[in-house]
Amino acid sequence: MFSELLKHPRAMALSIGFHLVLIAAILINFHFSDNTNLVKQADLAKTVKAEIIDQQQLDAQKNRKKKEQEARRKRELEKQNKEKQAKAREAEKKRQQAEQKKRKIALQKKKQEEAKRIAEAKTLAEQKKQQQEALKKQQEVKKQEEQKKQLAAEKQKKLAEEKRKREEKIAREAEQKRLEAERLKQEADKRRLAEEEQKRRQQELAEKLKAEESQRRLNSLREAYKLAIKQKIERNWRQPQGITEMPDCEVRVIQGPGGIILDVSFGACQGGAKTYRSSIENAVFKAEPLPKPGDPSLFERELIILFNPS
Amino acid sequence: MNDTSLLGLVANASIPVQLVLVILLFASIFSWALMYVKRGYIKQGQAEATTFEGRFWSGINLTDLFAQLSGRQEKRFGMEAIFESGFREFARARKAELDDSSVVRSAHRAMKVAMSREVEMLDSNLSFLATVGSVSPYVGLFGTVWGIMESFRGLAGVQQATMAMVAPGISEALIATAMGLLAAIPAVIAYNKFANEVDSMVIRYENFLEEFTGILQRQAQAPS
Repeated sequence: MFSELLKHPRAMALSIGFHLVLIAAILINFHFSDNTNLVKQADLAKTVKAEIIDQQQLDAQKNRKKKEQEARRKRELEKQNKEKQAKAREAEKKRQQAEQKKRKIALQKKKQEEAKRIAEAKTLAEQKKQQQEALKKQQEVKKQEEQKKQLAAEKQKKLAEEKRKREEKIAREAEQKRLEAERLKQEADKRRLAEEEQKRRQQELAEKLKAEESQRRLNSLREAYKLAIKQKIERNWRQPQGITEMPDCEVRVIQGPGGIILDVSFGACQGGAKTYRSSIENAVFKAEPLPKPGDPSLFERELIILFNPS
Repeated sequence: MNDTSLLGLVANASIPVQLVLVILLFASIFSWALMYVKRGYIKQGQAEATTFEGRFWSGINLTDLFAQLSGRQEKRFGMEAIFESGFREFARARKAELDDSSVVRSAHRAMKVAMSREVEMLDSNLSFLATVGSVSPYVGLFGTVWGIMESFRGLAGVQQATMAMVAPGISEALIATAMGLLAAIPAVIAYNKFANEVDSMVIRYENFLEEFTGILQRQAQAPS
């Protein structure tokens, strides 16, 4: 693509120019809208400043007027003060005379009051004595009542003791009953456990028997399997001509799944002629496929068969 | 932050957003240049096909037409190229004294090859327009998402959040989406238009090819 575009510089130039114009148009548009906002803000600032100036001038005038008024007020105050002082001096004289009179009257009042106080004190002392006697009587009565109360309390205590003893007895009996119940429960548990144990043992025994049973079945099946193979091979065997010596032979057969024969070899086979051996080998191959075992777990890859023609 | 002009927003944007903007700008520039080039090719091809069809059906002797074309210095393209390669193959096969059907077949094959070459030239680079049209909105969206992510991340550490704190960031991020759409829309329109035109050109070439094959078949059966 770039190589083709390089071949056409005019197209590239046109495209770049177009984009520059587009960007410029967008920028200018945004710029104008910004300018209108700025102008409005500047106007606002001017009006605010003008108001502030006016306020300051007004404040200055007000201050000047205030000062003049204060000076006038001070002068008047001084005059008034002088007059007041003269009046005050006269008033003071009058006040002193009045106080002397007052003091005399007060002394007379004090004497009268002291006489009164002494009389009151005497009457108070008598009253106190009477009160104390009354108190003593009351205390004696209280003591007698307390003794009565103590007796009553002792009686109650005794009663409470007896009650407590009775309750303890009941509690002891209950405890014994509880222990008895626990003992019974434990015995029951023991019995249950023993039963379970027995059951388990029986089950185990049954399982064992079953396993033995299946083992025996498998063994018999294996025997049958081996026998079936051997019989099939022997059925397929044809006695070669002119052979008199026919010893027992151990034949090793390797089979694949489905009873396909993979290999045949000979173990102990003393005195067997070559033709005899090959006849056995033929018989094995003819017996293909070898019979299937009764249980798939009995399948053996390697079989050793004792071949006896008799 | 007070600079809300477009230029200020772009200058203040984070690096990924700026990168996205630059990529989109280049994509847009290239796609416009390609549009210009492609439009030229297709217009030229259409004009050439019209004039050549006029000459071909004017009743001129095909051998004369071939001689005129092959005698020309400049490179032949479009319908001329198809005609020339077909006729040259036809002449060569007849000189080799092949039987009639195989002569026509070899000429047909040569024309097919020439046609596919022409179509490929018309078709080339259209995929770039399709790619720009479909991908640049996503690129723009990526820039926007990134920008908004950044501005919200800045907001995380602040106690009292105000609109004024995120607004510039989101505004700058949205520029990326706008740019992506700006690049994609013309590219998609151009791609659809060109694809349509190229298809109609292919049909025109195929029709010519079949007609010309019929003529050659008749010539081959006639005694030379």
